[in-house]
Amino acid sequence: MKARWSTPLLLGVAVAAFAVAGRMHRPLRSQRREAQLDPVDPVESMPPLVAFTTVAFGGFRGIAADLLWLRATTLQDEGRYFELVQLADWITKLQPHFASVWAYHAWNMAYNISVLLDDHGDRWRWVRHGISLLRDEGLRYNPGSAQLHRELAWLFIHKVGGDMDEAHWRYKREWAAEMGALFEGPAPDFEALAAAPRTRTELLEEAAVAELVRRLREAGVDPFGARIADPAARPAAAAPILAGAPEAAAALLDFVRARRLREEYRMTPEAMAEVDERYGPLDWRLPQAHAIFWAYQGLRYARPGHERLSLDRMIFQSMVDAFLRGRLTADAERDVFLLRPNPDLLHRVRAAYEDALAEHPGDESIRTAHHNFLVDAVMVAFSYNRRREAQALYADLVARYPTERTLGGLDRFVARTYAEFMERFAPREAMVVVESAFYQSFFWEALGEPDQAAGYAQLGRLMWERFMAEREDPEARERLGLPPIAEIRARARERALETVRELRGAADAPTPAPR
Amino acid sequence: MRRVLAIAALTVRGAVRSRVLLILGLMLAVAVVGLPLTVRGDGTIGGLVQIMLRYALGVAFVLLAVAMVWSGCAGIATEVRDRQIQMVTTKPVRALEVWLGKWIGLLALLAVLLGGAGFAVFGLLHWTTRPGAIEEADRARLRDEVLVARAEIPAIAPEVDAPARAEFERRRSAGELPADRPPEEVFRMLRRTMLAQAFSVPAGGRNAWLFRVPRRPAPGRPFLLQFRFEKSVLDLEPVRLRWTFEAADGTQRRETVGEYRPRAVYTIAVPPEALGPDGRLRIGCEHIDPVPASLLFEPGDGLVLLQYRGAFAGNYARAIGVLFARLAFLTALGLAAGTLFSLPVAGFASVSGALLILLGDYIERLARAGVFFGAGPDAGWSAAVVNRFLSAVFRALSFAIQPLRGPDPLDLLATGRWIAWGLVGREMLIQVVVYGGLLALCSAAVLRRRELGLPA
Repeated sequence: MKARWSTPLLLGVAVAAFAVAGRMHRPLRSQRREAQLDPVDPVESMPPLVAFTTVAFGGFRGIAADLLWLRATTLQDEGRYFELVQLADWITKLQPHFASVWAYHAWNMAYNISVLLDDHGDRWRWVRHGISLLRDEGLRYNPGSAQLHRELAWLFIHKVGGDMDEAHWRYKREWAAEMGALFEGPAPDFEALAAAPRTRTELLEEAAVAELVRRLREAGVDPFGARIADPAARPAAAAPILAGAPEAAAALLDFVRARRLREEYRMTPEAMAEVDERYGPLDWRLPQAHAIFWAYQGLRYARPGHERLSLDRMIFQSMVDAFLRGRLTADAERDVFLLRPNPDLLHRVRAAYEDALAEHPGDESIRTAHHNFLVDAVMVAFSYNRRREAQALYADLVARYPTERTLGGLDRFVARTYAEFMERFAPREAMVVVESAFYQSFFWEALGEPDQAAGYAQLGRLMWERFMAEREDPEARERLGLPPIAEIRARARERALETVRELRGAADAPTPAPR
Repeated sequence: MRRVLAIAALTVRGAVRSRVLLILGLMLAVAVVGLPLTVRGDGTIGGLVQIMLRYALGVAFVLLAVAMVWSGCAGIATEVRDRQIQMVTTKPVRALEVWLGKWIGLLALLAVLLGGAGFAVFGLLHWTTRPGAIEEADRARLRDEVLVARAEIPAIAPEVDAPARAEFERRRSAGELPADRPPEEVFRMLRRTMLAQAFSVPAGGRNAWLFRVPRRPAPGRPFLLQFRFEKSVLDLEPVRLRWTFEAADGTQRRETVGEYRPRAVYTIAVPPEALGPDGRLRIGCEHIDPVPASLLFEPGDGLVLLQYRGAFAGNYARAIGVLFARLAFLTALGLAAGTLFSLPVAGFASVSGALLILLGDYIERLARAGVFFGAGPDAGWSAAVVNRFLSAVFRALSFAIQPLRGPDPLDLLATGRWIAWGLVGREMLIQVVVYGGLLALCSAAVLRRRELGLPA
């Protein structure tokens, strides 16, 4: 009797326990999130293979990871790098929720291994491996890790955007070329990309698009491949077909671009638009925009304190960088790749600093960074003939950080700072100052002030020569030097002309001759 | 011999009938073809080929090792358990012939499976690097850097033993030896320091090393000097060096100047005409960088001369030969364990044996260190006794294991290093003839004396 009832009874209890456990799963997960133990449920983001591996190895997972780690270290010591990408992949997959492991391996590839290679193309490959590991894998398994968002932003702003590595120009060019294959101009059309269909089926419901796709296929062109969206690599057979159906072509290209952004770059047009709206207009071909993007994405997962501060810091540092050299002039045919200041970002950078100061009122490092930014900003605004903005910034500087140098009014402050700057310029600051001196020169010449114009031209030339004189070694010139003076003058002239046209109206603007 | 071959044939037939061959073949095919599709290289075609060689053959080796050890264990243990062995032992065959027959049968299976895996990887490699699949420049680079067999010629080791011993004796007589270290360890440290000095280049100074080249370079195939150094200043800024290449008598001097980064691996071409008629080549390194940092080339592999010795296909075949020898030993180990123990125990015993061989480096280091508990005069007599005992154990283990250890043929193959026929011969002799033979004799002795007809 007992045996007959006990089995169904136990089975019933088991089923009931299973059901209760299932019902409790959701609230428990919410509680974990509320306590910020685990902002995103990890199991949801794990593919079956990794979920299986992490469970199947059991207690031996650590030993397997140790052995792989030992092999990776030995191979790296011996200068044999070909296995390291795979080993890093396995090591991280064995400990997929240990964010520091992802951070270490990405950093190791982007920093330690890349610098051991002489060829700049080889170096870029390893930097790219580091970025991919964090963005495509690390964040996939740890979408709620503020640390990994920060590390990724750091790779963009420091490794790609900075100038510590002698191959940094190559990195910037490669990244800009990658982005150039995704969208034309400095930024994608966020609205169009966000509105693009999510699936092929949805896209092909439009008869015109379906017809276009059919014709492209007939011509031997992959209508959904990466090359179709890249103006520089688009197959020749595709151009007339796309031109024949402009609206359908736009819909197809938007679909391909939006899909690549989502699937390959893990960025949604909606999130990009939000970042651009808040901090932009940014040039998305440049690493600063991506650093801001990833740091901003990490903010929602950051715990108050160090995590929040480090992401805020990443954002305003990247903003300053974008302000100082966040506008790209690129011309592959003429081999022109110029980074210039983006004065339009001034109020955004100020707002980012105000937010950070309000968020971390006692943090001295933010105040120091803010002070340095205000000095830079006064100089840039003054140099770009934005006197009213310069005056406002100067007033802010005097009010918040009064020093001996700030005494005596805006003009005296600028004169003193120019002299000091020359001693400690980094290329990006030098570029700002030299270009803005030439800008002033052309501007004042157009306005019929030849003396002032000549003074600025002389100042610009003197600064360029002085800066380059410190870098006689060809390698130092290549890495830390400025573009040729004629190139900088030509850009400054274009900008000055634009300003003068705006002031007077395009019809009667005089055209200053290039110096 | 006919009896041995008959048992071998029975073993093969049994394996085929039990579908072991089919399952193993399928597993190997999946691993060899599927693995390169999932493994990620460094993004270069060279890296992909190296990964393919290293991992596809590596996985094939591991699968076959597990299968052969298991089949070896089962070969005799299950027949004893199922009372099948009596069918053979009651016939006029010697125990040794039974054991050898089983081993040869398993080796025949191994040869088929390893050969098949080898051909598959080789075919896959050719398919991946066929003309049209990759650019011609990449193919040329691949042929020059990976799909090639170059012998490593190390620098002639400088004499450091005598000077180190002299310095050691001087310090001992002056009472300068540290009290907390065993004297032999102090001597080893002195020796190591002198060796490091012989492979270092001081700031603004120079050093030179002599290489003995066994054969003239092949036409159009220059020597390559491969080097890697550490810098006493901890940065990665490149150092300007002048390399000189000359015959041992100072004639035929050539030189090249370049900037090299610490820790990176470089290969530079050595003009073949710099080699003297006596086959000796002196390579000098002059530090001409203004940075005051000494450079250290790792004695052993920090500075080697690479000489073209042959094509990749031959090297590949020799690598497979070395793998075969090692797998043959593992099969013998499994078979011997199966002769001694029941199947589960035999499995554990043979895996433990294989692990001991894998840990050979560690065991050798322990045997060399000789100190396990405390050292110096305060350690007491008990520590000394334990140390002596453990040292003897590890020395014996090291003595038994070291002949079974050798260079990894897959590493050599993937990095374009020459696998000498001598290595294949040595592996065959040691792993198959000597160790396989010893296991065969011991197993036969056990099998002869073992009571096989015990009731359950």
